[in-house]
Amino acid sequence: MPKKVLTVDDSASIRQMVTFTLKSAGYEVVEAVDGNGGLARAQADSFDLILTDQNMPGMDGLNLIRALRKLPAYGTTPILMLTTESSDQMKSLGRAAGATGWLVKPFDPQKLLDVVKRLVG
Amino acid sequence: MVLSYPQRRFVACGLCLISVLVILSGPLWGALVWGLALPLAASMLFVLHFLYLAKEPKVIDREEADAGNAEAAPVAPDCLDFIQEQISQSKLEVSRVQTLIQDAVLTLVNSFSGLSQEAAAQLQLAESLAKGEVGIDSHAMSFSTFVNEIANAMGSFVEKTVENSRLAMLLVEQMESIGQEMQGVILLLDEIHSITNQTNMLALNASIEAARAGEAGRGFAVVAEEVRHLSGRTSSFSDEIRNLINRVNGSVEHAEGLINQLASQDMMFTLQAKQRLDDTSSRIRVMDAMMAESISRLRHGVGLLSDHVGDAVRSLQFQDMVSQLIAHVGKRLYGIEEMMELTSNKQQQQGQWEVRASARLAELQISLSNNPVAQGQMQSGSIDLF
Repeated sequence: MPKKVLTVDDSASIRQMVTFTLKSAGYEVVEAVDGNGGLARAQADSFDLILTDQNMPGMDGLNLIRALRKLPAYGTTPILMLTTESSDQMKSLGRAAGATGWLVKPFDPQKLLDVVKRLVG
Repeated sequence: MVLSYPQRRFVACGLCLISVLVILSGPLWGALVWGLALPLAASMLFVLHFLYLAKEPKVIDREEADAGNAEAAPVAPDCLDFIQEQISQSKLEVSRVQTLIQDAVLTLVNSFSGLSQEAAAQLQLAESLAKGEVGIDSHAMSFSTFVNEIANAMGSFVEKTVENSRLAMLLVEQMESIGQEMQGVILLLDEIHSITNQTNMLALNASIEAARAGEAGRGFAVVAEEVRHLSGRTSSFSDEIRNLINRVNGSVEHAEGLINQLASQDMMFTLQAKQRLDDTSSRIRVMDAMMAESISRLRHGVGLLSDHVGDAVRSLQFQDMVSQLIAHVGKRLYGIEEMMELTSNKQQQQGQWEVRASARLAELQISLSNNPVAQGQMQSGSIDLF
């Protein structure tokens, strides 16, 4: 049974790259285009790991993490922020919101894979 | 250095023209980067130019007001309309640029993904071929395994053949021994034949002596005749036995020759077959080594290709970063447009426009101060696990 990953990003190319990287390693990947869509997919299904962008139309990444952490099913699920935001202030906000890690774009496919493997196997 | 209006217009038009030429003729990356940067620079120059131009009539207005002349400069409203029109057009063009880049990058990512997957599939196919896993059922085995199986079977067959040859040689020796024993029997038959002759001679002499004795020797003559008769039968049996033994001896010699021939032929054929199989096995081992070397090089090549695709995937993320930067520039244009509207003559005629303009200006300064993209290069971003 492959591990299931949800990737939330308003950029189609980033979603495509994340999907390609993780699918090549045997993960099942589901995509959502913004925070609201990501929250709906997370509630409708169960995921082993969630990757989200910060700056998205509607609900942003930080608010998505806060909303997910309120759900019992996602209390301890690894949630990674994958964003161009790199300031310490934003990282602190992410940590406080319940993010498991902060990855700054552009991501290296192998490094992303290493982090995902480390968190969910 | 302060440029005059015609000079600034000339520079802006020049930048636009260069950017169009770069987009039409340059390589993809140059076109994308310079095709974005130059129109943006030109747009900003246009905006700055008209902002500067819009301020001049106001100065003139104040000077004229101070001089007691309340007549407004007629150029300012047209300029404002023009600037707003240009900003609207710029936003549309920026949106088109984003769409174009996104389409191109999606196609490129698809291509690189397909390339990487195809290379991995080819490597898997090559490895399967090398291992002989491309069979029609689960019993399929590799060619090298097949040859090894045959070589093992042939080895067992050679061992058995050598053993059979050894037994055949023993059989030949046994037959030679039987032949020698037969010769002993023949010698004994010769002895019997000699005894028979002597017995016959004795019986003949006894008959002569019996005849010489007359009536007294008649009974003895009968006995002598029977002895001679027995001697003759013994001689006859002896001859028959000799003939039989000679025939048996001939048959044994013939069988001995056949066994000898069979043993030598089997051994020679088997050894030749084994030698050919050994040669074939050696060649297959060399081919296997070459195939393993080729697979190793192919695996290395696919690894390098995967690294290159990884670099491409990382670099192609420029689209997301550039898109966010362009969106941020768009926000700045919106801000400029809004501030121009707020500072227009029409707004100035309404009450407390300065308060409203200052409040909105403060909001815009805060919202525009955070640039979402701090990166200036495309190396891999940092990773922090909390």
